[in-house]
Amino acid sequence: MGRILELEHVGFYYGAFRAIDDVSLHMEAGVYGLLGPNGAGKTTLLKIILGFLNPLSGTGQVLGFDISKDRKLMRRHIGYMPESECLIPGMDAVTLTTYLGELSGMPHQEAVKRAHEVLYYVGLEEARYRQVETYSSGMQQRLKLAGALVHDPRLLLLDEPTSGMDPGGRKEMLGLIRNIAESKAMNIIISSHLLPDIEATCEKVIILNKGRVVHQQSVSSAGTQRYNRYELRIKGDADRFIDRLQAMECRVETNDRGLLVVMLSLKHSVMDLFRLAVEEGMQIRHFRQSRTTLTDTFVKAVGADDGN
Amino acid sequence: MGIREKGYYRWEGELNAKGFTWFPIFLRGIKHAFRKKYAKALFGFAGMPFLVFLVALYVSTKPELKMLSRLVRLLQNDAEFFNVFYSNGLLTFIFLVLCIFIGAELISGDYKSNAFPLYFSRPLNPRDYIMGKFSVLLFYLLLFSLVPGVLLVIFKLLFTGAFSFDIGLFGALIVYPLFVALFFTSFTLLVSSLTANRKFVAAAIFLVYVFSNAIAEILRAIFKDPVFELASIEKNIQQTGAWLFGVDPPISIPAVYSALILCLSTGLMVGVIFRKIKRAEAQIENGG
Amino acid sequence: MKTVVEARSLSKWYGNILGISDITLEIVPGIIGLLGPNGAGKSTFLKLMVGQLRPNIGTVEVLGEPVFANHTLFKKIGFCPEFDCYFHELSAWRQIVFLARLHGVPDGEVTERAQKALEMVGLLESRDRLIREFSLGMRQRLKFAIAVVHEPEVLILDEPLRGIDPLWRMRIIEIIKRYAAEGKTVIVASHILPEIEALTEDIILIHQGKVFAQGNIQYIRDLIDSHPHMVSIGCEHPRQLAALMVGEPSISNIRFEESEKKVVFNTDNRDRFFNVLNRLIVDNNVAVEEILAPDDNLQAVFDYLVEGH
Repeated sequence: MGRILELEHVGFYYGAFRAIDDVSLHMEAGVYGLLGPNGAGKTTLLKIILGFLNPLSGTGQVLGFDISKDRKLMRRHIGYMPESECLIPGMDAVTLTTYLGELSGMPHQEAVKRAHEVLYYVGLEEARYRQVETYSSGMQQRLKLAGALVHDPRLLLLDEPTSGMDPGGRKEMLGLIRNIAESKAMNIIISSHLLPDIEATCEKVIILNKGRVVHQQSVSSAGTQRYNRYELRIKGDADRFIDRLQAMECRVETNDRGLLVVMLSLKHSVMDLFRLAVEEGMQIRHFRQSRTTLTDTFVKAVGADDGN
Repeated sequence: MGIREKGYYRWEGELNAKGFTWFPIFLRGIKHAFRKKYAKALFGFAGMPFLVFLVALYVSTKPELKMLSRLVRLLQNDAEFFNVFYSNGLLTFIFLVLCIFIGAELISGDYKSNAFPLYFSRPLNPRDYIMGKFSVLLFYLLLFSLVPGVLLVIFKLLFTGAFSFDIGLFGALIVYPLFVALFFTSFTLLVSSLTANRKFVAAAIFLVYVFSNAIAEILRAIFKDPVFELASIEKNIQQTGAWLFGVDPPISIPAVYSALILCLSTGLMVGVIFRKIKRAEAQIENGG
Repeated sequence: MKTVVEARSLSKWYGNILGISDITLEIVPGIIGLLGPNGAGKSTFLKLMVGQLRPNIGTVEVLGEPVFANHTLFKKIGFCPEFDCYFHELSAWRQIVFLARLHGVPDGEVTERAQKALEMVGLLESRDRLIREFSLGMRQRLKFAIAVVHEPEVLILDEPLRGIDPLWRMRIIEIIKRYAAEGKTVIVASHILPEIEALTEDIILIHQGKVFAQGNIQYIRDLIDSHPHMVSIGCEHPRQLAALMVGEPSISNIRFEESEKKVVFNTDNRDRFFNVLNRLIVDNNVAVEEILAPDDNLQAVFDYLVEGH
């Protein structure tokens, strides 16, 4: 099929400020998370991918379209869900979604059919004949997703997709995104500050800092399992347990989620841990090989860059 | 067949060929304007000049009826007739009302509800957007000027079987309303693109127009030089009409100047509109 | 433990629209998370606590006094509201100094405290820039600095981390934890449950204008009998493990996730279950890769309490 996105030495600056400084990026099919501190250039990069900005240096293609010459055309196949609140009032959801589909080049009847289908998908079926200005923020968020999906794009760009949604809405939105990604092999880029959202939906992450790409890897490899390191939660006298472990030459720490992280010495095995617990009358209620979290990866990538 | 799978489905259809991306904006805008409250009343009112002139036309063919005699005298000269039809005060006033009613919120509404990310994430650029918005207001303005004008020609032919056919006249008949409509549309959309407040836009359009007349009067009174009348938008429109139809202009100044003034200002206004919309496009998502 | 916030039969409505209905609770020092669906009454409750709204029925007292329009009490309360609320034409410095003074910081200390607060949130270098030029994340951090500049005893934060990047998220969470460790009270309202989990184990869940749950998450989870606890065990031979465990009466349900080599048990008696499980693992030398409790988190508690309502 070819790569979804290829950028070679792309740069963009506002006067003396280099928003994007020599970014080269290749994205294959799949779901990507786009992360970065404020001011890292995320917004500018998204605008270049969407064709709003013409890069001042470098070349690239998105879905086979040149990012300098075909900027308008590539949006026929891109769906964008903006972060900010945006509406065209005075119409109901079906009309608005149909309108947006038509603007993407869909024939009218097709746009109407698709609008209904997509509104069902995002969970707005009961409210779809209501005027959009009456919608709550959670509903508006879903409406934005519908608008991004109506023309069945090949690349979906979601900017803070769960912003403003309550816990129930957030869970549903993440579920919708996962469903699109998994079952229908859609290519998605999610830009978010919420690492839990990224972890829940993305396979790979790209981290930007100060206009450059500082990290590009899969989420699960970001969670590289660390040999012989395990995280545990136990019920019982934790101090005694820790003392015994330390007597066995195993190092024990507490991580930021309140879990014990045990580094087994080479002499001991996982079974020894359980044996110890049973002996001491404790219960191991949570057990897993410790892995680097996305937070760790992010801090490392950006912190290192800042010279922290 | 089995059970329909849950979840997202792809669309197997095909997108239209490229081009005319602004057309949905045009259609939607027309429908939207038509559905507004009082729209039909307004349109009825806007059709009045046409009716008046139609009646006058009919009456002119029946010389036994003595009503509207002054208008009937006018009608002997086709050029005068159409000039007066297009540039009479009532029609200009109607233009103003249409501009405010339909045009004020065309762009300011999009600022207010932040519709730009939705528009520009589609395959359209500022040029398409502007053309779409222009076409909505132009449609209605021409519907009550150019279309009645052409209909009057047809009726004249029907009633009298004679029409002093002159390519210049026919051209003027089409070019003039188009020109005036373009001017008004640029003006309206310019003001509409300056602020998110629809009522402010409506007031501004009205006031600027009225002020221009007032200023012209005042300056004329002070300086006694007719050139100051060109400060009035209305006067410029009438001058241009006179120039195109080849009749005497209301002020003793070469009428072509007015045409130039209107032309240049239209161009300028369109330029500013482009600048504003380009900026709106670039400013999407400045959260950083 | 002294009671910092006390509500008694607190009710508030707006004409026909219900805000909250008959809420009675006490909040003690520490960090407490406030959550609830949209429209549940969370914001109403916050505004009542901060003294911006007057109760229709009942009382709400902070530090022993009724809080509505109680200006002296406001000096001891810090509030970080959800949405933007600044004079955009002021510089950050002038904004924080102005509000610090308004909250009763003595003149001699204003400069020092303001500097400290801005430095803590990383805005000291930008202090002279106009707020108009600030990004969303910066404005949010400024709001936080303003809420703490007068070192209030009670800090009330409504979605404090909106728009803030992951790095600063972590830092501010640390700051909040340190603040609470000094004996202060912090009430954090948020829709983003992982954030609340990172801060505290104590929550108040408001739904349909009432308190649906209050207390420690684990404790609340235990109380939800309609949903027995899930324990997911990943191992090489899930069915063998299930066979070994199936006789255990505290198990109400066994489910397999074949593709992931997991077996998921439901139990209403975790104590018994884990005793048996741990023992069994040791006695039979079962090679276990992971033991997880997929619904022992705040999202699950939220879903179970709110579902069907």
